Amino acid sequence: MESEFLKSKIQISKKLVKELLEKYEFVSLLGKQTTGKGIRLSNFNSSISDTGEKECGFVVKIFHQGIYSEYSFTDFDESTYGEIVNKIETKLNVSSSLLSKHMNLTVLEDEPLVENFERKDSGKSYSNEEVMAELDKLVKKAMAYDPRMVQAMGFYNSYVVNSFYISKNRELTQSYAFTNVYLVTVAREGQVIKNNFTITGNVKAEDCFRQVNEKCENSCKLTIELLKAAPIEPGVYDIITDPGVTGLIAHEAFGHGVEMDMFVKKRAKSRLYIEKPVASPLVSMHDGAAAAVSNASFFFDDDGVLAHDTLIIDKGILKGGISDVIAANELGVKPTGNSRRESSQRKAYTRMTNTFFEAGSDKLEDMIKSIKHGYMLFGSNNGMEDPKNWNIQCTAEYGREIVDGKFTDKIVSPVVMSGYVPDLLMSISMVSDGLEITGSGHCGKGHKEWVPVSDGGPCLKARCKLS
Amino acid sequence: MFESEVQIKLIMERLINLLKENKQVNDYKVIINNKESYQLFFVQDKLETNRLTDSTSYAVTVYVDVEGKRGSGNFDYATYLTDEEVEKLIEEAVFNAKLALNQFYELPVPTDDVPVALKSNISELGLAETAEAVAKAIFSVPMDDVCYSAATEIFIYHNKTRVVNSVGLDTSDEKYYGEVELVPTYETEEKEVEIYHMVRFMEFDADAIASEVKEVLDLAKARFFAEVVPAGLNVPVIIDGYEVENVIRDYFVSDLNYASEYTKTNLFTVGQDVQENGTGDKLTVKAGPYVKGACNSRGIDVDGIVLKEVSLIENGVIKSQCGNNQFGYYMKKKPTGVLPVIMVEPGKTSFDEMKKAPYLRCVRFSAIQIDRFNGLVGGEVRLGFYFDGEKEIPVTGFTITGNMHEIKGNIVLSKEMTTYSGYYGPKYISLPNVKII
Repeated sequence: MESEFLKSKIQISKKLVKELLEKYEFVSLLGKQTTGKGIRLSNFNSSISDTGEKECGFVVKIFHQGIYSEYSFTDFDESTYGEIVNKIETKLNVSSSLLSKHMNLTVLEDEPLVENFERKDSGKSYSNEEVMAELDKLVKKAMAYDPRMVQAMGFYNSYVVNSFYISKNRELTQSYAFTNVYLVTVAREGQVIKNNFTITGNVKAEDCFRQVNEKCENSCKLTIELLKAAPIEPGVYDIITDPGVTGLIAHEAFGHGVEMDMFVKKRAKSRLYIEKPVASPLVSMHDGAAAAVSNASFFFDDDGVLAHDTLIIDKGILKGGISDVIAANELGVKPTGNSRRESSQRKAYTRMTNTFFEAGSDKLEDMIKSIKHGYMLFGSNNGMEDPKNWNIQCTAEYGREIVDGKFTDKIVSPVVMSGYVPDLLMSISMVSDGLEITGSGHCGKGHKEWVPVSDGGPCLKARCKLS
Repeated sequence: MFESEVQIKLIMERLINLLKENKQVNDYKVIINNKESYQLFFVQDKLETNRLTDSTSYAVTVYVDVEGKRGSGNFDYATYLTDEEVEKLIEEAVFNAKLALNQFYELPVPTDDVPVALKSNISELGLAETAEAVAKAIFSVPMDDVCYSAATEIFIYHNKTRVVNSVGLDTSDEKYYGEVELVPTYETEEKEVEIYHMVRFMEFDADAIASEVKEVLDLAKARFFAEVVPAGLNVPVIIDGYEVENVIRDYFVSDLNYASEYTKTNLFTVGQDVQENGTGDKLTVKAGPYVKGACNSRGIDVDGIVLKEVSLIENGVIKSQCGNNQFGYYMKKKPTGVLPVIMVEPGKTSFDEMKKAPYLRCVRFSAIQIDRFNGLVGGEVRLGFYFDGEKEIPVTGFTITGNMHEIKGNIVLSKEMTTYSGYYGPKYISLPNVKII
């Protein structure tokens, strides 16, 4: 573990866990610190600040009165140790009226494990000066592309997550790095304004800069092209999704519905469909921090469970879900390493990590040729889950029209996909070879609790309502 | 830890002395955030988890001037740091500030303005006690195996913010507020539906919470019995619910920002009639720090500016813009600070009058999409009510899409008013020429 601050807290954390175990059947302590730089440069201004992922804090979890209780705080040492213990012992007790109804929870499993994990950026190390120079080059290139370009912004966000987890039988530490580099371009023609994003994410910062530079010209070209984009004529169309939109479908349409804390709350329709067909036999889907290397890839989760690669859909059949420790405890299943917190100030929920469809065997050109009239959709914008009712809303940045198996010049933007999830997944008739996972997004649960996630997959051919 | 005033005073003295010792620092700002919360998590009506949090943070920004330009660098101060470690952080921040130089701007100076008091009865009740009282209010509403909240999360917060800068500004605000996330559900053996609801409040009122819970349980029941909208429906769409705030804020108000004008991405300019040639209600919009019940209310912004009310739109004509200290300085306009609440004047039409002709009233979107560049307004609607001229029926599973650029002059605002997190204004907005698919 790289963090000297967290290293200095391990001994006092062990002492705290040991002392609390004399009173409580289960005690764990998570310490987490994320540090790094967020550097932004545009043709108007620039800034260097801390990474947007920045956080530092501790969470003590105890089992008592038949429920789990947590105390989150930002720092402690010998001078405040007694106060921390006192708060845990006095302020976390709940009244008998609240306890008159509580979940049937049991003591969490605590299999012995002592291990240290590390994933470093093994590439070129960039000083802030060098990052500014790279972003400046990128922004100047974008602004020079066309006089209609009014704004170009380069973002660099590089961070290292350090955490430790201590319980009676486990002592884990981890340290992992990730970098994102973005280019945002804005073009204006009269009262028409359009923007476009190019996002890269990698453990190695130098790969991010290489990729974003490679994509810069196409990104600028698209921004200008979008000035002429029309709204789509609403209707039901044959579609092909690019890997970004495929990932959005995996994440929003189905991923949220297999978060098993939603099973406990009876909020996910998919709990009734285990071992039943939910998608075309061409479809297999995964989630797991160990399933890919991205911004959502860690070694153990925020409750000390090792990362998994969970097969969710196998050839169209729903095999199971993903879970945090409390949901798994309530359901009597093994947790899958998906306990994640927005920060140490927030509760851990079952959250997705890297969510993606497996590659198929079709060629993209054959998929395009097979469409009489439809659209290929590009660029994940946003989406909203509805795990109980399986409605879907996913927005793609833009679509290109296909007529008689060929692209026309028509471009539409933005494009909102909506409909019923099983209808969409069952309609998948072709799946391309190759697979792309983009590690740059953030996901909320409902309308809060934002965590880094990635998603992706191959190109899919399906049928869907577009507006 | 939630540090005391005495502890904070000592920490600030030490930090400011260290900042003053570095001669390359031209200006500085320190934001002290004290936050504490108490949280309860229920699955159906059974308690699963409770949480207690507290934190204090010191966010330091240093400003360095080089050849008429100004750069800034930041770091987090922590009490465990030695003087040498803080000095090193200041040096790093100075170095970063010199790398990211921008057009010069001054920091806000002290004024006689007093931040609005953000009153709340939670301060007397206590956080844990309020959370328990909220739980009691929620579960006092009759629920059964058919109609219930699948999950209920209660968060009661106490936040104190103080901003100190090197030109003598020292302002603060303090607020208590609550958030409750509910998932009203209606189910039988054949079918289950849910909707999502967030209750946000600054004043704890058991009756108001119970009443809101009952109302949203009824919405879940309505979704259960909702039908598919008739094909080819072409009627005015009424937005009903907290998405009303998003329509006004995301399309109109977000354009009226100094930063939008500075970066040439604004569509509207001061003096422009943004609703010309329309026959709908003319918008009158103010932005400000506080509205009773709106829990986004703030007394100051991140630069410590004491927030005051500003008139943005009067009868459809843009009167002024708003924005933070840096972009206000650049645009040579008075920095208003980042204003958290918008206030919209009522329209001329009552909800009853809106309901005299057929309409489609949308009460729950999955997430409304508003893109001020494209003009897009729309999204998938999870619950609506369709009135065919004789009866109103719940409907679901449809999408609406319209273009605000084209319809902004013809929107109709209700006489009835409501308050959401950052909004006080018409409860309903009727949008013409919106496609229903």
